[in-house]
Amino acid sequence: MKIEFISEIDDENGTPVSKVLDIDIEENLSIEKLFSKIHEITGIPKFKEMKWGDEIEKISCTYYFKSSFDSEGLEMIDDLSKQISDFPKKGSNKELCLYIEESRGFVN
Amino acid sequence: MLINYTFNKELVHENIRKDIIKGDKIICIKNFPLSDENLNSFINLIGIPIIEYRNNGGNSIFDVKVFKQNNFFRSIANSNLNIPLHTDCADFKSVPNCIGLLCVKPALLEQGVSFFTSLKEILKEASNSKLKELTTKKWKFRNELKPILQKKNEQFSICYDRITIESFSQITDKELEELNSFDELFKKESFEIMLKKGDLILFRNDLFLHGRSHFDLNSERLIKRIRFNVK
Repeated sequence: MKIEFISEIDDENGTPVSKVLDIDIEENLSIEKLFSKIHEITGIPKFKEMKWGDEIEKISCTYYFKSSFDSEGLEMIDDLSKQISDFPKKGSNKELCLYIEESRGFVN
Repeated sequence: MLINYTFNKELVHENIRKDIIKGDKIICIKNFPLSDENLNSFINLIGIPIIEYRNNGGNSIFDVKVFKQNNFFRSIANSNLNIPLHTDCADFKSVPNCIGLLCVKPALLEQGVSFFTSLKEILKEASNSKLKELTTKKWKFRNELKPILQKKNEQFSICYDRITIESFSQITDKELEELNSFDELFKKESFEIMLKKGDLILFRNDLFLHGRSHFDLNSERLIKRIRFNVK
């Protein structure tokens, strides 16, 4: 299936930078499986490490899907066990549009 | 340092707005209804809420609670860690000047205590050389380069979050020492507030630093957070 994948969103104007990924996956599988494949393809790590006092803490990426054709329509995914087919296809060419945010978790 | 109100029909939001503009105290409204709708409606009377993708439904409210994804905390706010004194949204070009925190469920055993330091006390306590450091040296808050203290129209404001500074830039040993000395100064002037269920606290994000202590992973602590600019 084709995925419109947003790799970053411009801080200044909120414009998403996206590319299309072609991923071989069944839509009855979980969105978590799809994100795992995206992590593999793009090389984006699932977590980032940070020093917290004397410990190292790991903070996960945050996952979003586009819920409307409106450019503001990104929604965070809380439940990664939901099926891929449960998510609406609201990308530029009606693909499933997903975004992995890597570092905002460090900012309170 | 605290002004107490009770949520009822007689509560005059204009008085609260004036207290926030004055900015020298933290406002606590007791018995506040525990819903996103009520919180959002109330804040809309006194300010303009900040909308963020990561908020509930992509709107104005964020649930500060333990939440894991990929077996890791989804964010610092979704952890049970001690969070040192900081400014929210320190990496924003325009930092929202107010924060509201509504306690839906406190942590167990006096944990998850909120702590604050007012800029007024920091200015009283800081030496001239420390003030110079705080007002002149620019630090990298993700994409924003700015000093910790700024003066505009004869009024100081504070923007500090060492987690953001340390996460997005290489810090030298000397800078680490500087940050440690700032933390020491800020912590020295801090005071604690233990939030109870139904307490809504409102405070100036540009005039107070805030943080919270560690709590048990299984405590189900839930705080609803809203960031806004006072009208």
